[in-house]
Amino acid sequence: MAEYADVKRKKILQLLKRLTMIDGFSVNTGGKHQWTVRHTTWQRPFPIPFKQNRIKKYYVEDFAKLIIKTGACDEKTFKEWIM
Amino acid sequence: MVFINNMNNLSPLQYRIKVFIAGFKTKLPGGALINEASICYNQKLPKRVNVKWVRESDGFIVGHINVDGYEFTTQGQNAKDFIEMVNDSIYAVYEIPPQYISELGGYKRYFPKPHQLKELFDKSISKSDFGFYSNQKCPAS
Repeated sequence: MAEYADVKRKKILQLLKRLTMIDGFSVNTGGKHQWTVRHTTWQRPFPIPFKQNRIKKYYVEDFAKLIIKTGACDEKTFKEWIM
Repeated sequence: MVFINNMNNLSPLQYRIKVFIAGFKTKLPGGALINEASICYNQKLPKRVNVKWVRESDGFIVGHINVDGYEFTTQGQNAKDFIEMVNDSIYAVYEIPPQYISELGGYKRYFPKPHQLKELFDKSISKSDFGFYSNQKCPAS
């Protein structure tokens, strides 16, 4: 898995909007400060916080692994989406 | 439920306003929370969660949470914020409506043990793992 950098909240929102256009994905809000990304093959949704302005690289890496596992995109495409 | 399905409403600000209004409505006469729903949500939530965390150079803490085999991630700006975010992410994953959060123990429902809390606040420790235990009893009892 390649190295990722911190990503701004605005970029994550753009990524989420893109994901909703892909079959099987849905994005919602939950808790008090979270977006929740759901895929039909996942047991539970994956939370992404919008409380802070930046999403840390470890977080992006975990999210990328999950998205790539579903086959929605490959690593290169994911990187392009968050750039 | 305050969940927003419309894609145009993913704005954090709009969501916070909706949550605030929903919380305010519960305080009005006839707008009280349903006790049976509180009990159901309380039983739905896990008793224990395992958290592995890493502290970054800028003070941010990123945690990998494991609840009954399901893994997800959360982050906090500092130790206090991190505990709040662990709790908030669990409420989000278990789809608890925001107006029920304070009823179910708020952001102190899952809390580490004192020595683990000390580690979390100690800036010289860069990573560790521990279990967060629920300190909440059933609302009906």
